[in-house]
Amino acid sequence: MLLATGVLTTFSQFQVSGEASTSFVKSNDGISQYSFDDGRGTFGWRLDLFADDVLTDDIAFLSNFRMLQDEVPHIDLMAIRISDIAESGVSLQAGEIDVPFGNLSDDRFPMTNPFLGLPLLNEDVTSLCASDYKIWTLNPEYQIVGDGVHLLDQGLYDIGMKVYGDIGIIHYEIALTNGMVSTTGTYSPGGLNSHHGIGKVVRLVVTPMTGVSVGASYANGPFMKDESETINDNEGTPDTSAFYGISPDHYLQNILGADLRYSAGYFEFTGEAIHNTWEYLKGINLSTFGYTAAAKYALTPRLSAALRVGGVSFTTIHNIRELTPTFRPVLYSGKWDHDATRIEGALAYKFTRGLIAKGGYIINRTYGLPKDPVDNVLFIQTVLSFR
Amino acid sequence: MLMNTLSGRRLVVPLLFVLVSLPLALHSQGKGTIKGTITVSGSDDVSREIVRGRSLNRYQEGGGDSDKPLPPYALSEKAVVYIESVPGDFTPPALHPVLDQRDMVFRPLVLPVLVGTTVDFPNSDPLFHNVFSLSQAKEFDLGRYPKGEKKSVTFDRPGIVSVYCEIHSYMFATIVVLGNPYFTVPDEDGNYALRNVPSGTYKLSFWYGRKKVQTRTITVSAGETTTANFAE
Repeated sequence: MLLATGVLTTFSQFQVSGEASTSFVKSNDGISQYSFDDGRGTFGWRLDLFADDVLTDDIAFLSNFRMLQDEVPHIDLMAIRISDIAESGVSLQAGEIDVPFGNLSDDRFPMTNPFLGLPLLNEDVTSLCASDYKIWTLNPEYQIVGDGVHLLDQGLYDIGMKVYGDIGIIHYEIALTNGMVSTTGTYSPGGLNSHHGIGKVVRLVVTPMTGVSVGASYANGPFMKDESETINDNEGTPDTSAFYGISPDHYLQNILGADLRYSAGYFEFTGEAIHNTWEYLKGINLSTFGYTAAAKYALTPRLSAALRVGGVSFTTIHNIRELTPTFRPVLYSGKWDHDATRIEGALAYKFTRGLIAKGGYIINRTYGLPKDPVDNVLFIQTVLSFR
Repeated sequence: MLMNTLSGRRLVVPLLFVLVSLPLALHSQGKGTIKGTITVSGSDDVSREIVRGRSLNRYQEGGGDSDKPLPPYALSEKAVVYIESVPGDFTPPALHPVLDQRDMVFRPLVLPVLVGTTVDFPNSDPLFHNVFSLSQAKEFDLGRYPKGEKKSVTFDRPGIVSVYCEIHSYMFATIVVLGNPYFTVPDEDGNYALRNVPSGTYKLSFWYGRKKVQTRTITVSAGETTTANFAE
């Protein structure tokens, strides 16, 4: 509307709001990536600060700052939004945006998320190393602890731009980003583009009736950095020639996702499934299937209960030259990472509209190991929202 | 959309006057009248806050009508004048006042009702809303329901009930549940009148937006008109 009329009615309204949360988390001790603080019971805090400015009906600035304990603050969102450009129904966001893949929505934040963290498919760290792009199938330190890329990178923020809008019951979003959904710009210096391509993301959501939305997402793009190195099979040292003469940034990730959200009365359900393929060396594809399903029910105006299940499953690779932890080359056949499942249960109690307490238990299972690492987690969290 | 909203408001506001007048007619032994004018000179921070929250809507796909301009609240939708306490037993109205969910906001912003009154909460937006309150005077959660459906709540204790939508956190309204029927809303010029008020000395309050602005002590005498002006 603004661009159509050329009229700028400035009524800039700056707003700071946010959520502060404190938690106590106790997991089992173990080397698993799912154990927390080496099994020590520990207190923690998190602050999500939203600083937004609504310039006009059509133009807004959105930002999220996430701070955890004494870590450096993370800037998740820093976007300029122009809505309904020239009354076309098309809106645009540019800057650090939320990548339109899946249906995380407001569950990124502790006030809305009935659980402690994100779904397993957003949190699981694979053994496909982010530093040297080697899957290290024979190195338990990487396979179990996890030192690689995510399937979906946690809250899914990246630098780029997206256009979106609605056509009837269909909502569409198209985004271009510096990184990919597994390796967002967060992992490159300054968040800048680290290869010669860009991530391309498309999302469609159909709302056939109120309370039901069915989404499909697709993303494609390079997931390695241009200067990436991998381990030379013969010498055990980092070497870009191991990409067989092709620039690392020509290896692509393809990921397809489907999701469902249903709610009615006091019940909410969200589900998501993804199939993910990373092009790897020598024509080998590393594929993964991941899923999550969560249900929430409001038992009373103050008390709600939630249950979530999730899993990740990895494909089998055959006769790939791998390195032992001592860099001895061997031929490996088997799953390229360990399948895992997670079951989470939680209760939340609203003291007031802006103050909740929640507690829950997380059961993690990792398969394909001689013994499942004991890595269950108990958590209690209080969340205060302010504006 | 604008026409729909305006016609909806045309229905709601006269209905409110009728609901206010009905109990008063039953108690026509009242002897005096309170009249006055409400002056609002400051900026409408409440509406600004709602518009701002409504337009942010950062992660929800399909924001409904949140991109469309919001028709401003009429004065009758956000201001109430009421007597804090009047002795007697009063019968709640059979007609249900309406707190509508339309254009991604609650309308009116402030709804005065007599204890025992049942309020209807229709959803007029093409998406789910969820009306809930954790207020001491009334705790309820109506769950999620779609356009065209309405749910109702009977307010059986006096007090202030803050109403929210769980899905759209910027949405709020206040239901002022009173133990007597001597309350009213101003017209668009800010004029209000409480008729047939029994003689006596009362505390007269003015509610605007989301807070009580002022309370003053007044005396109503038989056959006379007492003037009480308020300003925000």
